[in-house]
Amino acid sequence: MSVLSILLFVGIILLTLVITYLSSKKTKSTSDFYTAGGGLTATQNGLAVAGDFMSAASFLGITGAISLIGFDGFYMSIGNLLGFLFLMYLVAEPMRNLGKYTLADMITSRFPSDKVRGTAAASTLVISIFYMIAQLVGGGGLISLMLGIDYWMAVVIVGILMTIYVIFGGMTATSWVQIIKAVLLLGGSFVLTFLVFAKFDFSIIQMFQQIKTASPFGAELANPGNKYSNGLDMISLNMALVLGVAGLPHLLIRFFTVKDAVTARKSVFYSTWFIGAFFLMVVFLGFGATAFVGWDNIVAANPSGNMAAPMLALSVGGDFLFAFISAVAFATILAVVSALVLTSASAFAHDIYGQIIKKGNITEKQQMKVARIASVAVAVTSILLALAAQNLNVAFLSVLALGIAASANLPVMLLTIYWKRFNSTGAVTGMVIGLISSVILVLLSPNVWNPEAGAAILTGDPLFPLANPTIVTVPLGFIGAYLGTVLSSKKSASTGRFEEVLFKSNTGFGISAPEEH
Amino acid sequence: MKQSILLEEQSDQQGIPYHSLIKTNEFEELVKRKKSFIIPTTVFFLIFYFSLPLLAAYTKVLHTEVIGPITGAWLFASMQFLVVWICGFIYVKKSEKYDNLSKAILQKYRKELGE
Repeated sequence: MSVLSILLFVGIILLTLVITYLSSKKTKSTSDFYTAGGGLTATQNGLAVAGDFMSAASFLGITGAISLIGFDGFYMSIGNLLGFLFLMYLVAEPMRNLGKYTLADMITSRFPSDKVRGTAAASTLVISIFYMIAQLVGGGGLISLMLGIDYWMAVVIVGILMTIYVIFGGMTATSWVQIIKAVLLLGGSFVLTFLVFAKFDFSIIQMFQQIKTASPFGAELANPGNKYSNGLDMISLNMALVLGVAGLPHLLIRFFTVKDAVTARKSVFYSTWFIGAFFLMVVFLGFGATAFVGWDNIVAANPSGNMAAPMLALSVGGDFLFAFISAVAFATILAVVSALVLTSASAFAHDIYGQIIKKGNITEKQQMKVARIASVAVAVTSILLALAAQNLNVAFLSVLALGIAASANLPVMLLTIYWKRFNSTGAVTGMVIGLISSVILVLLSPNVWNPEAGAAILTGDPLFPLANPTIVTVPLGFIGAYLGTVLSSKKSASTGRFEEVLFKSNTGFGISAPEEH
Repeated sequence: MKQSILLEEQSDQQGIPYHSLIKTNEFEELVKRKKSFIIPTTVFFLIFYFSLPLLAAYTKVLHTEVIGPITGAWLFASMQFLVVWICGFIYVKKSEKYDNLSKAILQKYRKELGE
């Protein structure tokens, strides 16, 4: 690898460490640690929210997918973008008005029960860790490819950095790393898009004309159907993409970093512009790669197309742009995994330790200490799992995480806010059934089973035909919540503080205010 | 809703009469207005979105080249971006009115809310 690449990578690492150092001085209370003191502006949080979604999977993965299979690679973009609209309309403001540090806080604002809190925390941990393993395995592979270092070394470097950001800088460092990365990624993509578009003579028509002959799909590259032949499976995938966004814990806790629901709403609105612009640029990058890097060359470098974006940078922008885009991709991986560490640590330290085990009788100091220990524990566990999963195809885990978010979290969150009759038993059964059915159906799916040896994790026929079970599990989540509610006895289950939740979620009364510094 | 009724119901958490607050005309009006906008719009954009994968999976209409070599699939997908931005913008604008209504509620019932 070149001196230039090393300089840029080291530059990124130093920049993030400076941010962490500055943030550590501001991280004095648990509120600072979990929510950056609630002091981000709408633009800052909008960028950070966008950053959470402009992951390595979307930058490298979607560019690669569009370059290799055309339109079918684009669902990831549009589905997720639409998810943000759904999030904005139904979830973001109640989340800000009802919660404090975690997703469980929001649900327990209606049902103050340990069972409900514990279930929500478990769902948060499962989603975040699945998501993190997918990111670490994918990211580790890419960094090892870009830097020419061993996979294990790449994972360990990412693991150590993410742990440092979180334990010293908490949410403040995590947010600023995310913001800076979002700006770098948008800027880098813009330059690359401009160069690609110039090579197509600034004509979209010309671009579509040229890609017709650039891949084995011929003119079909511009049409849907090159990857998803099973309609039900594809619609199921789209359900996970649209509905999953509104249930992802690491995204939802971002709304606690702003002072009120108005700012939360504006931050999602801004993020739809950032993400939308980014996803549109990715189309140019994808087709640019097909035309100028070459379909065969992309497949040769990485069968799922993950190297398409860096290779495109090399071909249209030379060594500097290649080094820059690789460094940005590295920053992207770092920023997303640290957000996931923080989310898991807060579910563990705040929900499970602070509220369930210690019943809230815990000092600020103790709580911070536990949160830091939990961060290290989560990071070490994820690193070990990522090392063990090196040779497994775990890309499906990030869509699985979205599917669980859509099936376990979303139904219960919506019913908590909008259904008067809903009760605590229903909240638990809804989450448990949504979570367990998603995991079991994926374990039985073609992601894990393939009759051809080596094509999936296990060899054999899948018992469940769809790769994405969301079309089954979202209704199951709702049915679980409904049956749990109507079948439980009135004595054992409480309908909770519906009136209070309704009033607070609509007016923002009693919102946990940010601290003054 | 009369003050005296509000003060009678003190059974809620922290003595704040949420039961009666959510039955005040102002609050019911706020919720009604929000629902009458949010629910139909959400239904609209979800149906609009899912018609894309449905058409892609079960028909060939999106394979038609509409503008030069650009197929219907890409045009329909671009429209999804517009829908997100336009619906987002309308929601932000509409919400300013809801924000004013909820501020008025918090102001009018500040005694009941213990402020």
